[in-house]
Amino acid sequence: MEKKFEVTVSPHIFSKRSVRTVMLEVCIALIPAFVFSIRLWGLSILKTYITAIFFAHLSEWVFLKIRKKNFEFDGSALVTAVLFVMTLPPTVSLFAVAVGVSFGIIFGKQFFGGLGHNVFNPALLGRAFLVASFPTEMTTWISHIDATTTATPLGAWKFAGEATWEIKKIFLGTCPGSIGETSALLLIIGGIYLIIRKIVDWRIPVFYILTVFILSSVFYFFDATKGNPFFHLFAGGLMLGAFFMATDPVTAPANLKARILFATGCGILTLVIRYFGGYPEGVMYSILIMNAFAPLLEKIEDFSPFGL
Amino acid sequence: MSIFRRTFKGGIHPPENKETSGFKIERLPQPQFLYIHLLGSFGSPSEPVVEKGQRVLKGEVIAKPTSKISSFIHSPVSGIISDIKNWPHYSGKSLPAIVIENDFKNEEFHYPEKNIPLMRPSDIVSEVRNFGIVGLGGAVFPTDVKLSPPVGKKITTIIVNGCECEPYLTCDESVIREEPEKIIEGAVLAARSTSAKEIIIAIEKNKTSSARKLVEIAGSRAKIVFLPVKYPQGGEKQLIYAVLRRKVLRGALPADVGCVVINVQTAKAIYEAICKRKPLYERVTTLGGFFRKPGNVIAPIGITLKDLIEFRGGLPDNVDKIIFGGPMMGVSVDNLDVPLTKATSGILLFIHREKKLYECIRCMRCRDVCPMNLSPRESYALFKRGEAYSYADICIECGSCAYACPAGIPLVQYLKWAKQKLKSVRSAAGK
Repeated sequence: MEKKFEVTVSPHIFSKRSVRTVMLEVCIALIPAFVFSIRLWGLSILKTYITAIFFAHLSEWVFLKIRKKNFEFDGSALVTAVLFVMTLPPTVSLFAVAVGVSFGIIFGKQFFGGLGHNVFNPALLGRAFLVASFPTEMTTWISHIDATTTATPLGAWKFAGEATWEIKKIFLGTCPGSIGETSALLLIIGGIYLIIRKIVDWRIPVFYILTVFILSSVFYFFDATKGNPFFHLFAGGLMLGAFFMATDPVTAPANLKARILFATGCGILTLVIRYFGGYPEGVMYSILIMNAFAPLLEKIEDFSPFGL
Repeated sequence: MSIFRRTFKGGIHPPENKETSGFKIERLPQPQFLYIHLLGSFGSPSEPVVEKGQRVLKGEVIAKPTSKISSFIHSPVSGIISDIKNWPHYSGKSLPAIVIENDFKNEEFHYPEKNIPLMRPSDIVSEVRNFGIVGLGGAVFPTDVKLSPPVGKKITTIIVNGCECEPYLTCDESVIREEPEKIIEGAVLAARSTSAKEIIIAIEKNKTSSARKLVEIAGSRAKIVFLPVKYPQGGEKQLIYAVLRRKVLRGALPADVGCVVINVQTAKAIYEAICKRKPLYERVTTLGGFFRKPGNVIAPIGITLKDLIEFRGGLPDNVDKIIFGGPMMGVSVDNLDVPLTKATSGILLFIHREKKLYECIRCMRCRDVCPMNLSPRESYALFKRGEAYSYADICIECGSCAYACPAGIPLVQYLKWAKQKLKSVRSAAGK
C-alpha cells in the first residue's frame, strides 16, 4: 500500500551529454572529411570504412566476451575505426585494415582496461602496428586523379626535395595522401565545431599547430629547403592529428598546463621527425610519444582553487 | 556600469524549468497536525519550552536555542501540544519534533510593538534572534549570527540574494514580484543592525520583469544588480565575487570581506519580525514538477508532505521521487510524513531518471564547470585509492560536476566523502 519513493543523492537532473553523445559528435565533426574522402577516392573507399568499423566492434565484443563483460555501444570503437581509416593510404588492403583496427582496439584499449584507461590513442597504435607489419602497403600512395603511384606532398619534399605542391591544393585537399587527412580545410571546420561544442580543449590544437608554424618558420628563414611553414601546416596529417587525435581526452593529460606542454611537444616532435627522421610524416609518432609522457606531465600543479 | 561581466568562473546552464514563474503566491489551508523539528536551524537543535497537553497560540515560542548557533521556534497555529517525539526529517533521519494539534481558532500571540526608529543595532539583532529568523535560502544559518560579526570585522555591504539559480524554484522570484517593499525594508533593517552603508540586491537576469517594481521603489535605498543566469550564481562566495569582485578565501567568512549575504525571503522575514511583530513560522515555497496544482505557496512550518500534496490535488501515479529543495542540491525523501522546514525552498514531484554510467574519459568537464575551480575528477581518482582530495574542504557541494559529467559519475559524492574524511582527520589531529 505504501508507495515507494526513490532516494538518490543530489543532483537530480543531468546534462544530456554522455560519453556516447560525445563520441557521436566527434563522428559528426568528421563528416565533412569523410564525404570528401569518398569524393577523392571513390565509393569503393566505403569498403575500407565498413571493414574497420565492423572489425573494431567485433574485436571489442570478442574481447569483452572472453573477459565475461557486457559489450555496450559507447561510440568509442566507431571513432577509433573512422579515425584509423582516415590515416591509411587509399590502396591499403582490407586484410591489413582488419588486422590494424583489431590490434588498436585490443592492444591499444582493452588490454589497458577499456575506454578511459588506455595510454595510447588506439587508432594511432593500430596504424603504427601496420607501418611495422605492412611497410610497403603503408608507404604506397596513389594519385587522386588517375590512381597511378605517386608521392604525397610531404614524400616529394622529403625524398626528392621538391616542395612543389601549391599550398591552395594541399589546403583544400586535392592531393595524394591518406584517406581522410588531405583536406586541411574540412578538418579545421570539424575541429572548430568540436571546440565550440566544448568537446575538445582548444589548447591542444592551437598550441600544436602554433608550435609547428613558429618552428617551421624559423627553419624556413634559415634554410628554404626545409619547406614553407604553410606547407608544413596543411600537408600530411597535422590537422587530423591536432584536432582529432591529440585531443583524445583519455590519452591527453587531464591538466590544463600539461596540455599546453603536451601539444607543444607534439609540434616539436612532428617537425623533428619530418626534418631529421626517416619518415616524411611525424604526426603519428609524435602523438604516440607524447601520449607516453601524459601521466608524467599530469604531475604539474596546474590550478588554484577559488580563494586559495 | 562595471566593465567586468558580473559573474564567476565555471558553472552550468541547466534547463530552467521555472514553470511556476509568475504564479501568484497562495496561502495553503492549515493542516490538522504539524510536526515541527527541534533542529530548526543550522547548528544545534533547540530545546522545547512547552509540555505535552499545553495550549499554544499562533506565534508563541515553543522551543529556545541551546547554543549561539541555534534558533527560537514558534508555533504556526494555535492549538494543543499533542506530543514531542521522533519524526522523519527530510535528511532521512528520525529527529525529535514537537507535534501540534491545530484548533483552527488562529488565536495570535501578541508581541509588544517597538519604536523602530529608536532601536539600536543590537536590538535589531536580538529581535531577529527572538523571532526565529534563519537563512531561508536553504542553509538555515541563524541570521542574528550573520548580523553580529566578530569584533574588528566591519560590514560595509548587505547583499540580498535574489538569484534563485536552482532550476524549478520560483518562490524567491514570487516574493520579489509581490512584496518588494518588505525585501527593501528588511534589508535596510539588516544594514542598520550592522552599520553597513550599502545594500545590493542581486537578481538573475531571467527575473528582470518580476523585479520591475522592486527597481522602481528601491530609489537610493538599495542598488539592484542583474546577474547572468548561471548555476550556482546564488552560491555565497560566487555571488560576492560576481557583485563585488571580492574573494572569500578558504576558511574565511563573508564578514572577512565586509559582506553579509541574506536571502530575499530572509530580508522579508526581518521586516515582518520587526515591523509586523510576526515570528518566522511560515515561508513561501515552490511546489513544482508533477504537482497536480503547482505554484508558489505560503506554507506553515511543520506541514507534512501528505497534507501538502492532498491540498494540491493529490499525488500523481507516475511520481516516484520527491525532492525537498531544488533539483541540484535538494534532498530526496522516502515517505510522505516528512514535514516542511524553514529550509524548504521547494518541493518537487519527480519521475526518477538515472544517467548511464561509463568509465571516466578524463574530459575535464567537471573541472571546467566547478565554480570553486576544483578538480572533481582527481577527487574521484583519489577516492578509488581510499585517499581524500586535499582541497575538498572548499567544495560547496553545488553538484555542477555530477550534472555535467558525460560518464554519469556522481562526482560531488566523492567530494563530500573527502570533505568528511578531511574533517575527521583534522579533528583527530587537533585534539
